[in-house]
Formats: sequence, C-alpha cells, structure tokens
Amino acid sequence: MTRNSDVPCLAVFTFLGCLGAPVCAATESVTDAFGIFRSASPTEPLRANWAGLREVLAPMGARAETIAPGPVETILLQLGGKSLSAGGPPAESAALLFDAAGNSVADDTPVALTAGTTDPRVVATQNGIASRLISPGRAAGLFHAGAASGNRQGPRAEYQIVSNVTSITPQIIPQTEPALPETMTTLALPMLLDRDGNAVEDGIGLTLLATHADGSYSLVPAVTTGGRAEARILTRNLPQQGAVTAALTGHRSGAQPFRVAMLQPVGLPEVVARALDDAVAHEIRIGPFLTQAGHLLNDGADIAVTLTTSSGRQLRTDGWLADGMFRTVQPIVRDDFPLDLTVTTSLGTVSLTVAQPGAGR
Amino acid sequence: MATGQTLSAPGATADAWSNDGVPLLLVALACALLFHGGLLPFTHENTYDAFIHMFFGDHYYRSWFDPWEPRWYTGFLTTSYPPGTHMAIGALMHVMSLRAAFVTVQLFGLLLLTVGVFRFSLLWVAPRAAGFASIALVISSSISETIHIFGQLPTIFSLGVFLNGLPYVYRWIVIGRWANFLLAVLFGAATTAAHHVTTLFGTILFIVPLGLHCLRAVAELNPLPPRAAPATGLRGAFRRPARPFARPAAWLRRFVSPVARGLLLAVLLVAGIVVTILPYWIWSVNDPITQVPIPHGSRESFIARPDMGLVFFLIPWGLSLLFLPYAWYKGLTSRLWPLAASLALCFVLGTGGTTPISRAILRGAFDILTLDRFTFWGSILILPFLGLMIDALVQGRSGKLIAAAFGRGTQILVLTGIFTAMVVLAVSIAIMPTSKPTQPEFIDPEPIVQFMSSDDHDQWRYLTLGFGDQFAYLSARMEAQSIDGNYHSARRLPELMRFSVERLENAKYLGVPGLGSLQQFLTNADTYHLKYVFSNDAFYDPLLHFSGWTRLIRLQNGIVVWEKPDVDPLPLLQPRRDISQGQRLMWGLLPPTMLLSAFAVLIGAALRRSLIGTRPEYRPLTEPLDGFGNPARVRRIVSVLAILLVLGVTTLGALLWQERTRPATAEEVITAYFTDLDFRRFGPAYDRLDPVTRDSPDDVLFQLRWQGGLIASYGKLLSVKTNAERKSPSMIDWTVTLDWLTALDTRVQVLAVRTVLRDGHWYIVPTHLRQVQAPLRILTEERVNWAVPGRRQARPDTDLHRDQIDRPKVTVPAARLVQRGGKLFLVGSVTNIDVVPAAISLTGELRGITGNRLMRQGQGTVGGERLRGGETSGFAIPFAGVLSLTEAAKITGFDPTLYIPPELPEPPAIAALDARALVGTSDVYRGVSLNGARIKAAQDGLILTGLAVNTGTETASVVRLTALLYGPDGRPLWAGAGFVDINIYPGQSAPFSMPLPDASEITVLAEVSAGDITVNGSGQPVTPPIDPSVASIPLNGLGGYSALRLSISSMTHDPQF
Repeated sequence: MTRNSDVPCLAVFTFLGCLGAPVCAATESVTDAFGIFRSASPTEPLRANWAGLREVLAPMGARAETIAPGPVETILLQLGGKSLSAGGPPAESAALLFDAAGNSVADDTPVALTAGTTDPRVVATQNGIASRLISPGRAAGLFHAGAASGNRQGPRAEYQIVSNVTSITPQIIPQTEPALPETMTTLALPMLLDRDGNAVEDGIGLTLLATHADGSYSLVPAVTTGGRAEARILTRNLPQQGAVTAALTGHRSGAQPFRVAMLQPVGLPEVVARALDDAVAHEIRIGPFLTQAGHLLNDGADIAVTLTTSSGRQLRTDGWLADGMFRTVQPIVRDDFPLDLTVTTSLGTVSLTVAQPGAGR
Repeated sequence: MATGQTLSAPGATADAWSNDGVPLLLVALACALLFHGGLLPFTHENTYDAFIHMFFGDHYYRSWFDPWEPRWYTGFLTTSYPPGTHMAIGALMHVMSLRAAFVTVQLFGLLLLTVGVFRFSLLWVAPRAAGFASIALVISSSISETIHIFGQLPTIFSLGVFLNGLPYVYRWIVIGRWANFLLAVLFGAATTAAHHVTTLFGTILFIVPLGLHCLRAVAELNPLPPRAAPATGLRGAFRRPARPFARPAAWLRRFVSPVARGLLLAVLLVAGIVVTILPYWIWSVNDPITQVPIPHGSRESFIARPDMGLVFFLIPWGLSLLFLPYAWYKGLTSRLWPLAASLALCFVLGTGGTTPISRAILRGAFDILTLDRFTFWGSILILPFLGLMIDALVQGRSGKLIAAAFGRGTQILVLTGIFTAMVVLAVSIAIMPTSKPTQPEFIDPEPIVQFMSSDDHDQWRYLTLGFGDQFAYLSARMEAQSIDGNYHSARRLPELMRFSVERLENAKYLGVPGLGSLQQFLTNADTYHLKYVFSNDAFYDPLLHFSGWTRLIRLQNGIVVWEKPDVDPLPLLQPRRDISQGQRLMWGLLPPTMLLSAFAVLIGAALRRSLIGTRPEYRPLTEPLDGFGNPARVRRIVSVLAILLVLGVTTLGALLWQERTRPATAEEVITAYFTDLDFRRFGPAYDRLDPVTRDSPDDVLFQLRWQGGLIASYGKLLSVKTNAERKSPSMIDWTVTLDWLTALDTRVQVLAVRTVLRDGHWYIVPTHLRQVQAPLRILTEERVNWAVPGRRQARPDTDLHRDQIDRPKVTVPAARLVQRGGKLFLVGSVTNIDVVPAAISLTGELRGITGNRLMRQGQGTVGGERLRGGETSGFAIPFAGVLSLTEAAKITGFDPTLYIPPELPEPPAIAALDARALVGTSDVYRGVSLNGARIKAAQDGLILTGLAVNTGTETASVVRLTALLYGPDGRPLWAGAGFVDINIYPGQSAPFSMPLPDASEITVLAEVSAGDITVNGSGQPVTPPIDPSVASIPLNGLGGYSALRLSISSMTHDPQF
C-alpha cells in the first residue's frame, strides 16, 4: 500500500514541482535514454559518463553528443550449468565486461577465457559480452574458469563435471548366507561407475526389487555414499526364496538370489481354554511357540486360527503373537467342547484339540 | 409546512436529575468504564471480529484516501465497508498502538450507546426507569457477548450514534423545528458512516415505532375539545373520539404536519444513507456479491443445533428472556405497544431457521443477513421495559406489592437476585473466551512480520492456516500480501467465491469443499505468487508436504513456515481497481465529517446540560400511583405458582436424569468411543472400554499415541458405521467402518470391534498393538547432507541467491492425457537424471484442437515433487474446476466424492506439460521399503497390499506409495497415490492396502508429444531412452496393465498424536 496517492501529498509535491521548474530551466540539462538530469547534479556523478547518444539542453541551445565506453574495469564470469555431465553436452562460459561507469565495453575488446586445464582462448566482445563453449571432458572433478582483458581479470568461477548417471549399470554383491528372519540384512552394491569410470556422486537413489517365490515383491530403496550403495531389508514376513535386482535410471542389474532362513518349530504349542465369569465366552490361549533357534517365535508374528466346535460350527480369527503366546476370546459355551483348532504361523500349520475348558485363573 | 408547534398541554415535565435518572446513568457509565473497560484489553484478542476491524483501521492509518487494499484477496476496495469506526482507529493510531486504538474506540462506542439507551428510553419511560435501562444495558449478556465474544465494533458504535439521534427524530415529528430535522438527518448519516445496516434496519425497528409513539404524543399535545380521556393500551392508541363523525377533519388535521415531517425526514434519511457512503453503494451496484452464501449459525434451527441456539439466542437474550412476557404485557396494556411490537418482530427474526417465519419475512435476505443482529436489537428494545420493571420493583407498585405480601426482605432479595444474576451472567460471558477459548492461543505476530520483511520475502504472497481471526491482526502488522482474507464480501477470486468457504485459513472445517478450495491454491501456488504458508495446525502438514511444499523453519512463536519452491515473485506493477478522485475524497471526508459533527452536537448539548434532560413534548409511560390488590391473595397465587414451578422443575430433572443414565446400546457405545477419540476426550473414551480387560489409562493412551499417523494425528472423523457380525447375549463382534477426512483425501478404516455386556452396560473390548520389536537396539545409517549456499557472499546486496543455482536436469520419458470417470488427468513419469535432489514443479496444460490454451493445472499430491538423483516416479495431474454457482446452490450436504469438472470452452484435444526443477535437498528420506507386496484382482479393479517397513533412522509420520501403471503398449496409463494409515517408527512396520482402477476405466485422450513437454524452460535434455520395465513389477495383463512401478516417499517431521 502506498501513500503516494494521498491528495494532500500530491498537492504538496505539485506545488514544490512548480517552484522547482524555473530553477531547472536555468541550468544545463542532459537527456539520455533513461530520462533528463542536470549535468551538474551532485547526486548522479557517474551518470555524466554513461555511454551512448545524448542531448545536452543548455540555455543557449541544444547539442547532441556521443559518450564512448571507457577501458575495461570490471569482468564478471558466468559459467553453467553448475554440474556438467561427463562426456555430456557443452556449457557456455560468458564474460561480461564493464568500464568504470558501468558501461558495457566497446565491441571487439579481446578477452582471454580459460576453463579447467584447457588453454585460454581469446574471443572478442559483442555488446560487452565474450563467450565460448566448454566441452566437459570425460573425467569428473571440480574445475575453475577465468576471464582476463588487458590488465583486468574477473573473479574465479568454478564448475563441476559429474558422473553420467544415465550410463551407470548397477550390480549386486551376492549374499554369502541366508538372512535370518526378523533381522536387518544388507544387500551391497559394488562401486557404481559410469561409462568413463567416474564414481557416482553421493545421495543418488536406486531401487532394489525383490521377487519372492510366493509371487510377492519387495521394494527397497538405496542411496549412494562414497560411490557405493547399500540396501537394508528387514526380513519380516518374507518367504525363503527370491531374487533381487537393482535399478538406476534406465539400467537394471542382473538378478541375484535372495534367501531368508526359516525357523523350525520345537514341539506343539499348548492350548488352554478358560470360561469367562460374566460373559458367555471362553478365553483361549495358544502357545508358547518354541523354535529350534532356542528362542520364542518373535513378537508380532502372524497367526491364523480356525476353531471347530463339537457341533461343527467354525470360528476364524487371526492376530499376532505376544511373548510367544496367542490369546483370543471367542463366544463359545461349554457345550461347544471339544474344540478342534488349526493354527498357522510362520513355523507351519498344526492341528490341536482342547477337550474341556480348563480351570482358569 | 409548519415547522413549529405550540404546546397546548405540556406533558411530563419531570427533571431527569430530580428523578434519579442522571445519577443512575452516571452509575451505568461508571460500570461500563470499569467492567467493560477493564476487561476489553484482555478479551478483545479472543473475539471473532476485533482483528478484522483493526485491519481496516490499519488500512486508513496507512492510506486514508486510497481505498485499494492489496493485502487480502489479491486486492480489494475498502469502500466495501462503511469506514467510520475504522477511520477512528486509523486516526488514533497516530497517537497510540493499533490494539489500544481499537479498545479506545470500542469503549467510546459503548459509552455512547449507554447514553443513547438512556436518551432513547427517556422517550418512552420516566427518567429513573431510563436510568435503570442504561444500567441494564451495561450488565446485559448481549452487550457482553457482542463486545467480548464477537468483538463487533461498528454494531455497538453505530447503534450508540443512532440512539442518540432518535430524540431529534421524535422532536422533529412532534414539534418540528428545522434544527431538529437537520440533527436527525445528521445522526442518521453519522450512523451510516459507522454501519449502514444499523440505519437501514434501525429505521424499521426503532424509528417506525417511535413515529407511532410521536403521533400519539401529537394527539395528546393537541387534544380535540372536549378533551379526550387518557387512553391506554393498543386499543386506546387510535380510539376514536366520542363523536367521530362530528369533526373528522379536525381529528385528522392534527396528524397531517407530523406525518409530512416524518415523510420528509424519511426521504432525507435515505438521501443521507446514500450520500454519506456513496462509494459503498457504487461498489455494491458495480460489483454485486454473487458468491455462495456463507453458512452462519444464526440461520440454523436452534432445536436441531442447540449449540447455535445457545450462542445466537439464549446468551444474547440472557435474563431478558424471562422478562419478555412482562414487556409484551406492558406493550398490550400501555402506550408502549409500538415498542413491544418491534420487540416481537426482533424476537421472531432472531429465532433464525427454528421456524419458517423468519425466512418467510426476510425471503432472499434470509441467506445473506446474520440474524443474531435482530436478537441484539431486541435486547436493546427491551431495555425501556426492563428499566420500567426494575423501577417498579424498587419503589413502584410491584415493589410495594412484594413488600406487603412477602416482606421488605423479599423485595430486596428479588432485586438483588435480578442484578446479581445479570452481573454474573454478563461477567461469565465476557470471560468465557478466556476460560473456554474459541480462538487459537494468541500468536505473537512479530516473528512472522520479521520473516516476511527480511530477505525480500514480502515479494511473494503468504497464507496462514489455523490462525483463526488473528490472521487479520497479523496482516495488519505488515505490508506483505495474502491470498486469503477475513472479509468474505470482498472476495472476487472464483476459487474462493464459489465454495461456501469463509476463508482458506479454516478450510478443514468445511470438509471436502473447503479442502478442495485450499488445494487449488496450494497446487497452483505459482499462479497466485503464493510462496509461504504459516501453519498453526498440523492437520494440513500432509497436504502441504505431498503438494511439494517444503517445511522451512519453526519460528519463535511456534508457527511452522512452509515454502513452495520455484514461485515467481509478484510483479512490480500489480493490477488494481481505481475509483474516481471524487469518490476518494467523499470516502475520506464525508463519513468522518458526519461522525465528528454528531459528536460536536452531543458535546454541545452536554455543555448546555440538555443532553440527558427530559422535555415537555416527551410523553413517557409513568407508573400509576394508585393502590394495589389484596396482598394475601397475591401471596397465595405466588405460593401456588412456586409449588407448581418446583414440581415442574423436579419432574423435568427426573426425566433428564433418567435419559442420561439410560444404558447406551452397543452401537451407541462404539460411536461415542470413536467420537471421543476424535475429539481427544481420552477420559470418556477410556470409560467405554471393558473395565475387566482394559489396561491402565496411561497404557491405553500410549497405544493410541504410538500409532499416530495420517488418521489418528491428521484425520477428522466424519461418520461411524457398525455392522454386527456375530451376536451372543453378552458379546457382539462388529465390523466398524470409520470415514475419516484428512487433508489429503477421505479415508475408510475398517476395524473389527468387540463389545461385551457387563452389569447391564455395553463396553468395548480393548485391542492391543502388534508388539513387534525393532531388529536392532541401535540403528545406524550413512547419510548425505547438502548445503546450498549458492553464490551468496557476505555482502549486503539482496539477491535471489538460490535461484542462481542451475536447475537440475530432469526428464519426462512419457506423459498422457487420460480420462477416468469423467475426470481428466495428465499421467506420466518423471526422472531426475542429475546428481542432486530436485524439487520438481509439474504443470499440465489442456489445449484445444488449434493448440489454444484451455486450462493450466499444477501438480497435485500424486508423486514426483521430490526426487533424488537417478530416481523415477509416476505422477498424475488432476484437472478440476471450481463449483459453479448454480451447482453450489444445489449442494446441501457433505459429499466427500465431490468433483467439479473444469469448464472448458471446447473439448481438450492435446495436452502439454511443463516441468521445472530446483535443487531441493530436504524431505528426501528413503528409509521406508515395502515387504511382500501383492497385486490381486478385486471387485472394482486391483488391490495392492503389503507391509511398509521403516529400515531407516527417522520416524515416517506419513508414508506415500505412488503407483505408476503401464498399459499394454508399455506407456503410462494411470498413476495414483496411497497413504499408510499410521506412522512407522524405525524398525517397525505397518500394513498398507491401496486400490487401483481397472484399465478398462481409463480412456487415453491424447499422447503428450515430445514437443509439448518443456523442461526447465526448454526442450528435454538429450538422454538415452528410459526403459519403463526397469524396477517395475510385471503384471502380465492383470487388470489390463503390463507393469507397475512403485515409488515411496515419506513425511518425517513431527510424528504426533
């Protein structure tokens, strides 16, 4: 929001403008492409040196004159893009040359442009600009560029040549042994090199796709550091056999086997049914689920249970283990016993029977 | 026309001082100063409207004569609201702060209203009753609510001016004199300067009854010989003389001049209303309000919405509601009947949509007006009656009757009870926003002001979310522009106008239409130069994150700043609407002149001691001095009534208790449980869990907090549906379907819930979390962090240093325009072939057969907005329109599937895509993977299921899966996004399920050719073709697709519950 439109201010400015007009008319004024100014204006000392055609309005009459740009004073260098792909398209290095008053220097001013390890190339300015194309080499790295004219040089410009990501084909280092269930296992990728042998930069994203024997898939992202990448897989709910590939842009690695070891059960889990006091239901506890690894089947492991009552009625429920046990409350009465249970976990499927409700505690 | 009147029979000549009127007025003024003046500095920041008026006041402080205000709605004219009170704030801001200026003007308005009520009451009742009326005003609940809850400044101020002008109206009609006429017109104009609605409706509700009262006074002052006996009541108002046909001309002649004067005044009042705020009327005519009506609680049925009835009916009426029968009784039996009739009209209109009467009376205006203002005016109109009643109780007939029947103590008790109840109610209401806030906690605007004013941030627009009405105060504190605003009548952007959304700021309260409107702005931010969002509500975080907004910082005041990359700054020259210089001068000069003139008149009158005195031509109702009935009989009647009252209250209480203690059904328990959880009422929710099997409250709360995520943390429950699966007498297994509204979409959650019956009450059997253990005690991760200093140096020059970083190279291998269910989408894939992460903005464009542009649409929430180097993601840009006015009128309920097709001049023939990328180094967490993903055919297409696993080191608060489906030809056919319901801690996992459409539902309308894809402002970079089968899951024709490519992204900040 501005206050310029306020009428009182407008009136005051107009009044002051009227007062100032005769004063301006009495001194020498100059018109250039940007407007009119007093040649002796203390607030614009540099403007008198602005190059180009202008007209001087003096009390004795008007005259036209041309101000030429001065010698090179300042050189600015732009070089892009920030990261050139190894063996990729060239980039432009452009120097902007100005004189002391900020004018673009005269055409055909020679400028020496350097870039990386290449020899300087002398080019002539056009409209104050001198430019050349720089082809990135096949080696990645950080390079510097510069521009010089006469006894003036511009500040250093840096540019980077990076690996050609689209030319990298990833590989996967094969597993040495099957991963244990419920563990964080790592799939490593060897050094990722582009077609010219440059290592990939940090932070590049890859995708690992595992195809499992049961027809399911797992998708695991990986990120590069130090030219390599590692993908971490949590072996939760994964079948034993599978194959995994890695992909980066349009390239895919060959498939590598991916194996997960399975735990083996020890004995059968126990079943206890307990009548609940004030609800027509029974609590059924199944477990513990023991394994040959010497520990309980892990917490959170899936379990599915089908109960068949004496009358043939079937109740299905599923859930997960806690402390090696599964607990469920089902709307069954004493007459429903004996119960047949079919229990499925990652240890396999077992059939159990409970003849009578237990005493309960 | 005669402008003078000879008084043939002076009326009541009692002096206000001698009858205790003025001392009571002084008490009222002192109370107003102490009570409201003491509270206002603390309560105004919790009100609804105070900050809006401050914003307007700040406008006039910055620019008195320039009505263009660019800070809201891409600019609007302040001639859209009468400026009087706002100019008063603006003027005071030269000597005090904005908030102090508001408080001062509001308090001044209240004092003016107190005097106005006294002066208005003097026209109807005796001075002491008028004094009590002014005291009743100060301690009325309606004033407390209007000032301390609503923060309505112009309503209070303008009514104060208006009521102070009514004595001149009375005098002009009754006795003439041009001075009275001029003053009446002046006060009408001054009222209009503050708020035109008060003048418009005040003419009907206050002046019309006053006019009838004037005619009666004229009749009494000019009696026909023989002198007519004093008539009372409605019937007596126009009782004909004993010999009506003897001198009918003489009878009528008495009224000719007053009626003519009244008509002349009416014409000039209208002229005053028009001229004083002429630019407003010109704006109204040239720029009529054509937007969808904003729902307002005062138009609801107060039976269906008792909460609205409380706010807009019960609280403003307060104790006055109990005295309404008295007012109407007095109206029917005395000369106050015009006042009572007007009061009745206000009462009826104030009931809103409770009965069809209001709509029948107001017709089209019903949907525009806020009807609580009628209740407010009714609460003012009843004040003379209240004053009369209190006066009668203090020393009138009623008081003497009570003293005689029940003793002096009872009389004092009754009076004390009334005053105490009024004061307690008024104070309770005044401090209610403090004790039970209706607004977010006060947000210190200073950090935001500093942020916007530094680094040229105010070159872009901003938006606030979750600020409530404090947004207006924030915008008053700085010059930065917002796309939103808090004065909906000034909205002119179709995206805002056509939805029933008061403002974007509180979009979530308007459900899908609100979020749809907000999404339009967030996804098309570049169109509106919208770069910053200040969020005080985490509900919007998922929408912001997955729309490509980046969380920048959390300011000192707790507000989170979000930034949209790659948005152009505002142009140096912005479009504005100008009005003529004459209108500017009128707007800047006339309203304040009218107000100042009116105040000068009042000050002059006060100095002449004529401000608050009675006058001979006044004909107030005086309390009859005759005796009263049998005290014993009164005592008996009152005793019987008291017994009946006690019996009635007891019976009602018993019924309510019975209803309250009725055991809830199992369905009711389930609904109540999830509703309690939604409103974070954990105590009541815990009480509904089975007391035998539930854990401790802390353990239950832990489980809820542990889940968090999109639904529990960012969702709003819409409905609960229950279906009994297995029933036994004491146990029922239910399938419970919960419909949730999140900022991203509507979600359906299906749960298995069991209820058990214990001691006649149903309870929910608590469920337990899957207690999975993280595989490692300490997770480690190699990470890459970036800093993007660009070419910034320690120089004071401000530059767009980030923009000086070259844009990352991205490529769009393929894109297509498809149609599904009548909706248009641009689908495809985008790959970052650079080595730095890219924040990518995708904009789709529909073109006609000749290549003419039909519509542009920004990227939605389906993928591709942030990619690391080398990554590929599918994307879908949905083309949606805004709700047309005709369609909006038809929509009465909530429709989560609402889709508005774009209004295109011709069918789209081709489409184009513009992709732009900036280096974007944040929000590229890639620690979430998918285990055991399966794709199966389902009833309506495909279903993708699996387990999302967090193998990284950050908590994924919302996880998104983007699915890109390839058609049989190997080109993209569909892209969609699915979200995991709960958050995932490191080492934990959560199941997901995502529906995908069948390919037969999708029609390819056009291929986007390579020439129609621009990347970073030019053609696509030259790269080897990207093989779509890489990293894709083969579908082999399942659902009509050849392959599926999945990508995962996560929002990682602020996991919460």
